Amino acid sequence: MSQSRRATQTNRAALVLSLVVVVVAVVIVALLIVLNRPASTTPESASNRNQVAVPTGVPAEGNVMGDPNAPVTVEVWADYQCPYCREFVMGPEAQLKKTLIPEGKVKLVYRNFAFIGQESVDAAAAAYCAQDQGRFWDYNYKLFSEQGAENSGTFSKANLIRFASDLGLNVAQFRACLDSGKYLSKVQADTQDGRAKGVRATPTIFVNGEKIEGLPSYEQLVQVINSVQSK
Amino acid sequence: MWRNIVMLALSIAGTAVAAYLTWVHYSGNLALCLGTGGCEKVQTSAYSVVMGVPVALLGLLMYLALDVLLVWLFLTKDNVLPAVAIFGISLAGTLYSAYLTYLELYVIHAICPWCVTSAVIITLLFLLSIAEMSRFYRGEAVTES
Repeated sequence: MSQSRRATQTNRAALVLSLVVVVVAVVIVALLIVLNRPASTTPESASNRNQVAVPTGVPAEGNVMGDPNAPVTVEVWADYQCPYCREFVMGPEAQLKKTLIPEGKVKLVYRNFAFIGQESVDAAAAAYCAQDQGRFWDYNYKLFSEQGAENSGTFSKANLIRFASDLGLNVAQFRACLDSGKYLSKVQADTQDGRAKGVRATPTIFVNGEKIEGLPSYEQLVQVINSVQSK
Repeated sequence: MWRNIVMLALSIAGTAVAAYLTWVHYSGNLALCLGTGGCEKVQTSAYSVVMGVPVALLGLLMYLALDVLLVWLFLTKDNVLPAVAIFGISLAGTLYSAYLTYLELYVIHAICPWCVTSAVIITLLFLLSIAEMSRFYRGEAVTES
């Protein structure tokens, strides 16, 4: 009798304890999720709105941005569908565009390593079509800004044309270029060229030939820039 | 008895996985996309750190706590304290892992196989801990003695 009452008490105590624990667990997880919001996202996306593809006064010729005689060349091998390439463009590259590129210390070269799928190749070819109209970097930046899930139709032909129209390009000329497929083989050749240079993943960055594989922080990038300059 | 041993084995496996992910985080490999399917190193995304603490390290601490509690439960079978602590911690772990898996699928667009392994382990631990707790609801744990 006393044993069963003891059991009942334990039942109730165990139940109450479990309920308390459930509430505490849910609160802790909610707290973790709130704190987990990446700190960089808010300021970064806010500053994105003020960001420009090419800063005013900076020369941009084809896929090269910055002073052609700059002592340091930062060559970025990327895929328009690669999220870390987007992070590079929105982060370290944006910071380069604020300081080292306008100062004439660094020039940026964009190279295609289009390996994630057909939409990567189509997007890269579209950027060359924009280059025909002297707007490579605007289109390049637009593609990274509009990046979505891989091979989900984000870079469908209709969307690629819409981006051109958004940027105020000559749409008829752009469409004709895209339809002709004249740059598809160039994109494939770029990617082959990358493989020959030892590119295996994106982003891969060469700073005067010094290889960085993967997404560096701005500080890491500047460190490499400084080290190649002192050589 | 067998359940205790299975849970301890799962928890030790989880400890190993979390230790590996913590090591990867601190070893400073950079995030990149590889040709062999998707993008690697989810651990280095902006979501991989909570207030300066890597999520992988949180996972490691959680599994270490579970290891200790499971040994305690094993030694004192009818003690409700370690049982309810295991239940609560594994519930929190399961909920948080569900959120992290959601991030991988819909926000980061990359799956980290070891993170999924950890999510499966903690979910199994949580389910087993419910069974463990049910002993106390039924009063089985007390009347047994």
